[in-house]
Amino acid sequence: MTRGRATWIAAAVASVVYLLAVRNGWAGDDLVAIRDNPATHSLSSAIAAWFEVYWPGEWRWAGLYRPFTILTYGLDWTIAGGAPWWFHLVNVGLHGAATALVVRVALAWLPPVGALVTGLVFAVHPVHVEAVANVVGRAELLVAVWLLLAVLSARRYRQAESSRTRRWWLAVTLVAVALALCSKEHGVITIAVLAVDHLLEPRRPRNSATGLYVAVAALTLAWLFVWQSIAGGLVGAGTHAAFFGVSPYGRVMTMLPVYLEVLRLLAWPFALASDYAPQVVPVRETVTLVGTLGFLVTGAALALAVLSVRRAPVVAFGILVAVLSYAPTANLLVVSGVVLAERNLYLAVLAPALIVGWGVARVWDGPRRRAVAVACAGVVLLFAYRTVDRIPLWSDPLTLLVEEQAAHPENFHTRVLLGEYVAARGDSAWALGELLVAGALFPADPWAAVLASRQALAQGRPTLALREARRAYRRYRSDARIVEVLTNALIATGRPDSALVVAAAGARDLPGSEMVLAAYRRALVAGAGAAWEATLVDATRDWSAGRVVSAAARLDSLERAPPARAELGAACARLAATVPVVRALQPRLAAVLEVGAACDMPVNGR
Amino acid sequence: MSRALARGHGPAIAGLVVFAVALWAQTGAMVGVFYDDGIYVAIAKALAEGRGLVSLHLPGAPPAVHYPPLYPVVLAGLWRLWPAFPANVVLFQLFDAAALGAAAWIMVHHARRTALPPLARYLALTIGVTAFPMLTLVGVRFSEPLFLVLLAGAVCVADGDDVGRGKAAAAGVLAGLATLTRSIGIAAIVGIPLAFWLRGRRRAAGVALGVALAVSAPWWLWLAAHGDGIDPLLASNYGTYTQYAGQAGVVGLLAGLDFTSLQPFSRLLVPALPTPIWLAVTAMVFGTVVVGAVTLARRVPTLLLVLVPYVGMVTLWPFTPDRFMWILLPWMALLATAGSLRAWQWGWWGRIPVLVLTMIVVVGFGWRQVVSVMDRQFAMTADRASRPFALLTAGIRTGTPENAIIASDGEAMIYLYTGRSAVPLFLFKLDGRRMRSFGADTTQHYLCRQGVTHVATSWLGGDALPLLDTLRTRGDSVLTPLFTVADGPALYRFRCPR
Repeated sequence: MTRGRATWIAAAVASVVYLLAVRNGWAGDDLVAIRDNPATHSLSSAIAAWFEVYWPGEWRWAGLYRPFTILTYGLDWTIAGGAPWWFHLVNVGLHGAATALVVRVALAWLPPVGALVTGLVFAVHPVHVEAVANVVGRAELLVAVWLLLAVLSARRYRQAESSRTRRWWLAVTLVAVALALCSKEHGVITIAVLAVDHLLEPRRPRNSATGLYVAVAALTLAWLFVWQSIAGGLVGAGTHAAFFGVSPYGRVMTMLPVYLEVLRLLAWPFALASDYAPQVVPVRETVTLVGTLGFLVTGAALALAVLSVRRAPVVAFGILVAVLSYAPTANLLVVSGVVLAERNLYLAVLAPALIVGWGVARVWDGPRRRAVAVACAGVVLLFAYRTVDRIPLWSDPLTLLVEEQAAHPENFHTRVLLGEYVAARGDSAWALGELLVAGALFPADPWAAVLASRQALAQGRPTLALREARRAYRRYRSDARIVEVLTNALIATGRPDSALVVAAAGARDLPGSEMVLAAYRRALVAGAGAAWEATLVDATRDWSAGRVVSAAARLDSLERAPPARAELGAACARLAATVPVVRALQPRLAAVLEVGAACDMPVNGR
Repeated sequence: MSRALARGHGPAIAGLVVFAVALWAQTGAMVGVFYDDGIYVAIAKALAEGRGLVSLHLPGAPPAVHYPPLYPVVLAGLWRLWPAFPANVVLFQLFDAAALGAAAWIMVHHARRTALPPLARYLALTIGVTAFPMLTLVGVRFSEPLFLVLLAGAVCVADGDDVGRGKAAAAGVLAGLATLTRSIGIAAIVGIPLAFWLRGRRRAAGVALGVALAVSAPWWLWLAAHGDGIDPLLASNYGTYTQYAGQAGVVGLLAGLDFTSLQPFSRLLVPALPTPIWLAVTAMVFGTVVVGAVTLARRVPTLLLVLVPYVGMVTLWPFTPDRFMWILLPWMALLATAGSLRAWQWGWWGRIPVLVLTMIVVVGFGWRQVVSVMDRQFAMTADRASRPFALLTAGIRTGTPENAIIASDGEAMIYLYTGRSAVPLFLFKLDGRRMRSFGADTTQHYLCRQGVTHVATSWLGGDALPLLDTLRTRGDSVLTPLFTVADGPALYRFRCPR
């Protein structure tokens, strides 16, 4: 077995196992991120969107910044006219390339046979199905390819004999790091992976790598700065519903059992799920037995990494890279948009792959070679079977949702997605059913209740809509969508006064929200509110939208037609939402001053 | 870390640290809050859109002859990469931070020649580059970071050993580029050849001078061709520096010899003190700097021969914003450190002033630096100034027609954020070192001549207030308020009297 042959065999196996994925269409996030995203429909639009957030249009709130990934989609679309098979074929090719690079990285510590086994385990590991068989998983593949390439080129940099060669490998490393960063946020770990590889590499480096680290650190800082400017402000909005309203302590307690599940997925990847939302992963805000076990096992894995630094550096490398690659979505220090996603374990599979490869290399020259070979073949075949079996799950959105719901009926999020999916196709009865079940499964999530309330209104069931809207409002008040659905539900059930109170409170709590001000206006109309109140709300809406001249003009008209004194008393509480605008724009607005005086509000204060 | 410093990576690490700090110092302030920054970016937009080196925001887009072109050219390149203002400002911020980081790298590298203890020179330069005034500078779109990296590069190359024609030419190119970034880069065109000459390298001096003049020649030719293309009423804001100096007159220039231009340094240490004490502190600071300069004269002659004409020009110049001096902070800190170390060797006569000065630095500057960094006070001025402009530009965007022409106190910013042509509201000329308004009648006539349709102010105060009061009280409704915000901006419709 030669190094080259090990590389090609592993890459070929990786590609062949996933060839079935070419039959898949769009599924899951593919629809929003690629099929319906104008930025991916040509190379020029992808280039034009280089500085745009990853999620398009109404999904913009979900943030993220992956311009190189978008660029590859644009290239694919240009080549294949939007046919999904080509996108899948490129993913398969990237998985093959990543596997080849894994073998090359492993060859620093392992003989070709050990590296081949590492590559084969990596190639067929069933956890990879989500990343490879679903097009949006490409971000994982790209970041893995560039990161591993950076590791290899940094090794060349450290071993370079001339300054010219060193400069060349520095440039290659920097390009690889830049592309990793622009492929997915996980690229930020590259500098740490380079350092781990540097520490564990058996060969003594010829050159100091400080210059390389300074350059990579500068590049990473620059990327973080651009990322923060483009997508950073949206990070909080993408927080997973499981962590909604959960304290940092509660979040850690919830995640500890998840770490156990991560280790289980890496070691025994036969029970899989496309979505690990509650109640697949229950929210546990206190110390639990399974959480304690998760803590101990995770600690043991880290201890194993430390202990094997000298004896088996390849094992340490695998574990440390797995820890680093999982860290951004570990929800330990920062909250991410997922509780657990199999696609995020793409690089983490290096740990089991390298451990198996190391184990095989140790015994390969011994008397049990044949038994080891048979065992390896058995594991690879089992993994490959599970992988091939899993690939069709990602063939289309309905298959994914329905099969996942059948496999994990306790998953509230799949039901929400299914509800949204069928609602978009006009079946609001089915949608309402799914959303109500979702709400019952995980009552802490207010968004299922918001969607259910909307569907109930669409179905002409205002009482149910009001119940769901109230449930969402009890959970969380400071969101425009919740204020809107509750206002609408109250109006629909003939409670305009309550609607007005809710909308006015919303306008006060969420200044500048067009959605809330529109709801406020509707509540005023429904409750036959005075015209001057509507004028004030319109002025506030104009002001919030930057239409300062219009806002001033509206207040001017109000000044010419002030409210009757008899109307003031009942309007006092509702006026508070408009006071800041009145105070800033028309400090001497006589009519409102009078209201302010009657309500004992400091509207004329400076 | 210590191994890295010993192996020669110290300057790169220092540059990385400064780069990180400079990125952190960026603010969300609007471009144009400090006036010049808006004009740089407006010129960059003109260049990026192929309109040439013009002040695109002014009606008729007259040639830009006040601000040298290199910084706008760089910004224009970035603008073409991402032509979506103001989102693309992040690239400008990134560039400025990188330039400051590179400047720190070069300055620390160059400081090895001083033979000062490594800790002393690293600390002096890193603190100097990240002092809160520098953080304010790098957080705004000013040309100073680019200028500093070019100037430091020129000085570093010229102070190097074995300077042949190639290195002399490189120093000349960098000095020329520094002059294309800020006109005061002439100090490098003067200082670098002079340093070569005094070191007996006359051919290198000639090469450096020739190359520097050749590199900066396009700018001088542009000024010669278009210097008269500016409305005389705008000469103070948009005219050439010779027009500006001409307004001040010789007396105005010489009045700078009261050394008020040195205030930015001593006020940095002690912001508010009675004049006699302030003078004593200034004398002590500059005494130390002079001692340091004498100590290092043989090791870094070019640095000193560039700093002297630089400080001289700033001193004589009739209008000297503090930032002109602030960018020298790293080198001043280095010289003061060298001076302090030298004075320490003189026994108690030297040690007592050094201890006093150290105490002043720690208590006066150190405390303010800590507070400024912890509360991000260095960014407060820009952030606060942005608030009324945010409201004003939103009001102009939605409340005026697209072909409106706005007279404002931040005309470049108004243009950048609203797309409306804009002219300055406050027209002035220099009288000695003082600004004098042209008065309401001349201003009104100018606004009418430019076809101004609206008048906008970020706040009802400052230089433009008397003018606005006069125009508002005129009986023929010159100004009609569209909105006025209490303690905030105001927008008026402007109508020329018949």
